Amino acid sequence: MYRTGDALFLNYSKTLTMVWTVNFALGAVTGTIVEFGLLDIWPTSILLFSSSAFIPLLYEATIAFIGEAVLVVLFLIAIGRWRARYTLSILIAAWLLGSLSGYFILTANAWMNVPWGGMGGIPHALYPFLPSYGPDAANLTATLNLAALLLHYTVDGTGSVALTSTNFTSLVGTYLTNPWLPMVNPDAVVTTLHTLFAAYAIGVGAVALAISIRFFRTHDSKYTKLLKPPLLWILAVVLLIELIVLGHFMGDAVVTYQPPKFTALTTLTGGPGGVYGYEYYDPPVEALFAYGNPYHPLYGFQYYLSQCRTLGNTTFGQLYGELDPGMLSYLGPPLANVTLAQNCEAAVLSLEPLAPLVSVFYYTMIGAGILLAIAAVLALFTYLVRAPILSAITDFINNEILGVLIGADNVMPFLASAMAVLSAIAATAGWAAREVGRQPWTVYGLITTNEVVTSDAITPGFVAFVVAILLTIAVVGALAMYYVATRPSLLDRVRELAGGVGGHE
Amino acid sequence: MTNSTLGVLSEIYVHSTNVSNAMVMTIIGIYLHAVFVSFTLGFPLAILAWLIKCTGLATHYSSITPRH
Repeated sequence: MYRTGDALFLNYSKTLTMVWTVNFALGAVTGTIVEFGLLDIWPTSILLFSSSAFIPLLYEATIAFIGEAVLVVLFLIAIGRWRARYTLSILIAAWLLGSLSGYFILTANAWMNVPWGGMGGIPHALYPFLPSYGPDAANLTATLNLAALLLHYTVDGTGSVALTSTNFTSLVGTYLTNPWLPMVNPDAVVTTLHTLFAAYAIGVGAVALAISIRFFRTHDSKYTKLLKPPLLWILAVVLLIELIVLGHFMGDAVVTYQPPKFTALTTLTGGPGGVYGYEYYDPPVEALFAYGNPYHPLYGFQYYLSQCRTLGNTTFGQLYGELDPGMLSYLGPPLANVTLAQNCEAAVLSLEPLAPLVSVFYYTMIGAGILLAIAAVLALFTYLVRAPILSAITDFINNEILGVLIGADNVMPFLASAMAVLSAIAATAGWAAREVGRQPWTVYGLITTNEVVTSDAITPGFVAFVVAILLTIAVVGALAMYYVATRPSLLDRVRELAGGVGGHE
Repeated sequence: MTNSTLGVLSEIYVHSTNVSNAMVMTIIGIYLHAVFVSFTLGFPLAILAWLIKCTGLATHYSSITPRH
């Protein structure tokens, strides 16, 4: 069963299992709040729930989450009592189902970034600088009807209230029914792996940080035993794959599918007027990774505006008169007279003011990522594997520089702590760059953020109330995790109270 | 860029007051959820690594020497 008899690892596994369980519950609670927020605050998303665009969320709830919940409870019963192979199998299965849950949720998010198959050609037709997003699998009339209705009600100020009318849904018709397209979206695969690896790093990093802080306070050698090799190995490997492989593919996906976002990302390094011109040259790294050629020019916002002007003077009225005349009455005079070029330019111009912010987040992520890679390499070649030249270099930095500065014993926990904190910074900044850079759209090239928000007034008082609830959950959750983390025998006591389910240790 | 430049399109593309207010609570809510979910995905890896150490599996496999 537990051959080494090393109680240290088993005891800490049990304690962390309790923290994990509390965390799982908090994830479910906050997930429910987020889900209600999606439906009540951003109600046009109901259209996505009712089509196959969000069908992965159904799979998440009915397959992955339920299965994970059952296995978490089973693991609570099994750890330290059942045969090791059963215990480990349950844990691995729970982790796999948790990751599958992440895949389903991230697939829905990826569809909003790259609406694969949701009339793939329409974003390109309306915004010529965007590529086609897969096949034209959605119903064209339904897509045009939906666009006209959303435009009409958003400009009218009634917005999402229109969704409460059954007439609205009957006017839209059936939009997208293919359940597979959202899941084979090329952006979904990259987004899933990139985000899951970031989550693994943050989760393991949080444990490593807690253990390191205990070491800094006590200098008890058991904490370095817990860190090295198990946690340090996972952190170093996960981070190096994330930074070198997955980060690269994620960047490629942005360049391919969301060119204006890529332009916004590079605002800070594009030089004076760079991104706001037609094209610009960035330091070679961005062009090298984006196009494989360090001297390749990058496109500025003027380029996108010039692409918009290729749409000519065709108006929405003319477009709908030809393709979907039934919706002309909904467009009304102001919208019917808007040209497709003006519409396209408005989208580009609305992103421009956000570009510096997007870029700050992006380069914060890049900076944290570079430091992360350095920390991972320093940990890997000094404490985990030996390589002739690399280990000599990392030994020198760790022993002769860091060791002198902070004390030799502190170097390894310091590197683990650095990886934990930097992972959180990089993931936060990367997420912010991804989501702010998606503006002005909620569904890229198809539905804007204004078209999704509720038309009921969201007052500052209501926002303060919801934020207060969320912060209370954060504080109570953190205290609950701290409570169980500092009570080593809690799991055994809980199991005794539950009647000793599951046999003997 | 001003709203008057965009005309009626500003209603579509420039964040309304409702969007700006909604963003605040949505960002905090999703961020909080993401933190808990990240821990939920990462903690099993740490537990797994410690359990493998305590079950002796790592020692078992590292002691297997290749046959020549």
